[in-house]
Amino acid sequence: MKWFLMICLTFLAVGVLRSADQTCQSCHQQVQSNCELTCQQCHISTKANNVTSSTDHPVGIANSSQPEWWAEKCQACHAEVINRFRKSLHYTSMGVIDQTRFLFGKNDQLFQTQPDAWQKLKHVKGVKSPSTAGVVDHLLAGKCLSCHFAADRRGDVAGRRHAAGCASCHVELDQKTGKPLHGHRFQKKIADTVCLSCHSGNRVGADYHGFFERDYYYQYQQPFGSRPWFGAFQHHLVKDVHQQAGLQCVDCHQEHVEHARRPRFEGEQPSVRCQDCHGGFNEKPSPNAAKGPVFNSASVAHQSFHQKIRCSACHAQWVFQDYGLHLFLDQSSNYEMWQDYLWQGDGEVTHLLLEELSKPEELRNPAFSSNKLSGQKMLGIWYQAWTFRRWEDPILGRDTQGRISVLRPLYQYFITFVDSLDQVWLDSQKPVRKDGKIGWNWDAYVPHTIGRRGRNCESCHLNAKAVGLGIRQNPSDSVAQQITMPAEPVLPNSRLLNAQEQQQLLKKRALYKYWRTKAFQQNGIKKLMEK
Amino acid sequence: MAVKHWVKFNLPLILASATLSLLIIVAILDQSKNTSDVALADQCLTCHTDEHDMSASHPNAVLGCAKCHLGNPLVADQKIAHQGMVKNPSNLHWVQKTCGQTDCHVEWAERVRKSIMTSNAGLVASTLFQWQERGSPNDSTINIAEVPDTSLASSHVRKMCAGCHVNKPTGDLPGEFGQRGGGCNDCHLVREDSTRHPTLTVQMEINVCEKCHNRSDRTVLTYQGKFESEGYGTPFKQGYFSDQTLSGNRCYYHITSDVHFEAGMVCIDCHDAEDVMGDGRRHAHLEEQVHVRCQTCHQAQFARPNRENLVWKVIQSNPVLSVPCDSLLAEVQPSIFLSNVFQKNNQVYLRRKLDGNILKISQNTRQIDCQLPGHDRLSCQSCHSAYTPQCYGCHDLYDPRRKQLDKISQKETKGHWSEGRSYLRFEEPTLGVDQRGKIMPFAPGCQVFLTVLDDQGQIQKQAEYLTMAAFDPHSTRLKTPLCEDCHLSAKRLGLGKGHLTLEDGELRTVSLYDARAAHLSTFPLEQMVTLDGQPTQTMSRFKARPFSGQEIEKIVRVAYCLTCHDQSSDAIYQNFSQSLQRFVREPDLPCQQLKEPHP
Repeated sequence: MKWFLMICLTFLAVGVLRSADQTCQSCHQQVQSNCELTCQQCHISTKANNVTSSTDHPVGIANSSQPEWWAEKCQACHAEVINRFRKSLHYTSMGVIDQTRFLFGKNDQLFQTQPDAWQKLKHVKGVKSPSTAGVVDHLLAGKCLSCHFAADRRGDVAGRRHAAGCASCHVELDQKTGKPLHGHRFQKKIADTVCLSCHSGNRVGADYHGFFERDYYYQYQQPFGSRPWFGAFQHHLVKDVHQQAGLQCVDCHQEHVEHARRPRFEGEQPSVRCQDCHGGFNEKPSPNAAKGPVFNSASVAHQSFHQKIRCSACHAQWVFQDYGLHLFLDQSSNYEMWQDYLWQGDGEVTHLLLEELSKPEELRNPAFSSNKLSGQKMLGIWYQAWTFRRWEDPILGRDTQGRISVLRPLYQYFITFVDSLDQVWLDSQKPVRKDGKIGWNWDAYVPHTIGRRGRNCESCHLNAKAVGLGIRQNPSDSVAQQITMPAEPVLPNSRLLNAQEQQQLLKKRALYKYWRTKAFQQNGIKKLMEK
Repeated sequence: MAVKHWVKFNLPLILASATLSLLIIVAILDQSKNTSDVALADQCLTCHTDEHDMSASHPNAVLGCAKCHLGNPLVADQKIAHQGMVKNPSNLHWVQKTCGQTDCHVEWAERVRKSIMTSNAGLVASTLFQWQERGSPNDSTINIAEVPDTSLASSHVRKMCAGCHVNKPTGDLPGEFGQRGGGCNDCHLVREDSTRHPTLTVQMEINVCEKCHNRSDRTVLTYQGKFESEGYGTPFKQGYFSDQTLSGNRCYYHITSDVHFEAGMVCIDCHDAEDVMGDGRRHAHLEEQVHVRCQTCHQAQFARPNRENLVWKVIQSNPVLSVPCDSLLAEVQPSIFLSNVFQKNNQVYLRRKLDGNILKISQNTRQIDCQLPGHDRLSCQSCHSAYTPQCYGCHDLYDPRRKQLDKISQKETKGHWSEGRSYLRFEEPTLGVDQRGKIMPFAPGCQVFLTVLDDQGQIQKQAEYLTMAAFDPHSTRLKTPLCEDCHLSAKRLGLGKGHLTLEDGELRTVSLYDARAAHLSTFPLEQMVTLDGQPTQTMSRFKARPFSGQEIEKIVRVAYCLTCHDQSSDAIYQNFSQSLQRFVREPDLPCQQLKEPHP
């Protein structure tokens, strides 16, 4: 019987194929495309008998830009791009998967994750065991990887909608409806709204446009009449100077570049550098660079003693400081608790809460969320909260290349897990790594909040917080809140400033005094004195 | 040996307390003799046999019940006996007949009736003033319990603010709200056991004050190092929100506490009876009633209170306080004394009012950091307040379609208020000049974004009333921020969170908040002044103001010198304007002739 059906379907398919052009066009009149391919070249496959069928599209592929169709549908023309993309972090998400598994005590060490790990995460159906190591894949597949390019998030909330596959970047969606914004077309130049559908929620990208998530509690959904975007209400901070000059993400960042080897984390992904356009220490701007201000080697800040400092460490106008990430895996139907937290930067949470809270209590279901890669439902949804969040001057440390860089406290996890019988298995537990250390991490990052001028010297020098002593009003007073004390970065060679480096910044050494004075003079202190 | 030493050291105290105790006993015996017929006649105790004494100084055997609760104490019939009785004697409506009757606490009862904690005059007048419904924030005649419901601001006050004044009815609302009020009992009553008569105390613990002073300026929270959190309720506890809770679905987390809290001091260790219950005059604002200053203890002046001074009654009523009646006590103001700060062998001590422990008080008379010329206008708080609770943006929504409890009429009436916030911070208080001309920390107080809906739920009116207020945040630390933390800080100077830089001799700021994009006013909420000295917000007091443009420039100029001259004792600060002239005129000063050091 099964075979019989299959054969019938195949005949039907062939029938459709024969008259495909006629048939597609006659129904899909509204489809506008500038591409020269026929419909079936992308959407019909002879090998596609495993695709969900419906009566009028027996073997149609809705989205052939998903990786499983690349070989058949895309490879012939875009082989090079596909090969490059397969190595990239947008494809593998290796940094996220590997680091989280390591911090949660699932992997012994960093870099044990294979490039196809994201594909295996499709098979995650639930929690393995009630430990941080046992819930980490649920977290990755159920929450973090909603931003993976293969996750179809057209149904997310405004700001966060993206399609899956190549289309996730190359087909811009109308954020209000989830429908393609420019008709049935791929775009070569990617709009910032596309990037921001993932790079929001106090991640790099959002800061470029001055977005900073408001606190999630309903009282912070202000001013009156505000609407959420990216799944949360937003503050508006000063934008990156490049954004103000009209530059978009892709003006600096090109995805399909050649990788010498597969990057394991963001720092290994080849990327554009400030110096490429602006020049730097012993470096001239590339001749192809657009005209912009050039590295001023006469500036006090640009003397050799600052050579190991990343540009962003001084030129960032503000940085994300999101302290204490509280993740709560809830399998229960206790939605009342979350009714004042409808917008947490995750459309699935919002949709679930709105739906379940609209029902009478006795009809509410235990919480489910989808495996973002497979679309399958899993028991439990991840709610998110913080200790507190700040936009502030940076905290410094060393990145993987040993440069002084901005660090951020994004990974101070507290994990809670409540099952469908309301039993608490994990109670604000800090994950413990396999080596017994707390699974927290502060990451070096590049704030995209660049200003024309660097911040004042005192933003780092003499500044207790900048050197890694947490928020404290005086270096020798106690720390205001323990959570602001930095945790050691886990990536190789990356670290906090050591005691000697801290002292160098906190003390006014002769060298500092000389150059600080010089900086004042360069900026016209004498004129101010004469006023 | 230790005991002997202790006895020797405390001999005057011991003698004094012995004398005092004797006096008290004699007084009680004397009183019981005088009132013996009343005690016999108070028939209440024939039925209420098992009532416990409220306190050592309020023995039932002597006072009976009717002395406080009124009624007809001479009749044994319950119905008649209870006629005219009051359940809560300390309600200020009849306190003159009870706690405040002749022979008892006449002065204090009268003072409390006029005090700012009863009238909330400042709170009411300030709100009406800020909402542009009256011309002045100063009116000592206002009483919150009598504010007519005639306007938006008065409606807001009645429904949102009238939950704390001393004489509000108790038990009107669940939880902490219902525990507030009740007149003298608001502070002096201790309910340990619902089956027993509550007791009275003069040793108020912090939580007594905290039940009210945990909103707005949040001083009692800050003092204990509690910071109201941004609504997350984290860390989660047992699958629910944090158990570090405050009233109104709020939570807190810990930050560094006040140094006095660390020394085991409670609110009443500084805030004496006059601070709290008033000095008998009606005041327009809290700061007029509160007299104690940092200097009261740390640059203490001593005097001998005369025998009639109320401080003796305070000492007498607290079992752990005892000083000889010829002692010198720290003078707060002429004729107002701290009952627990005294001098001995040229050393100043404070006796903690809850446990009687003694703390040494360091005297700040020659601290060069505090006596710096040019810093004369600085209050202690401007440097020593490490953190200040700052609640930016108070988004008030009025919806006439819903009802809400009017806390004065105790009725559900038309119109509903709800409040939202923009964000909370505890770091880097902003500085400005307060109404006394002193430099003080400022914080939002309040920054109202008002939205009024009509009966269809459409916006009828929107308005902004942005106000900054000076207050003592009660986050005192011995350590202070570095000089540069003020002299070069946009936020502390009132210019808003951002970067204050110098370009071609001109000051510039980069503001971090994009207020226009956020549809929040024109300037960032932390900003109260522009570089040229234009205030961007209203001040909560007439004479208070942000720094002027000129003051900002003067302050920033010092930052340059601070690079090398970073000690208060440095000669250049003894006459800074002269030093400045030298800098400008003498090109051969070391500052002008920089030599690059060899690293």
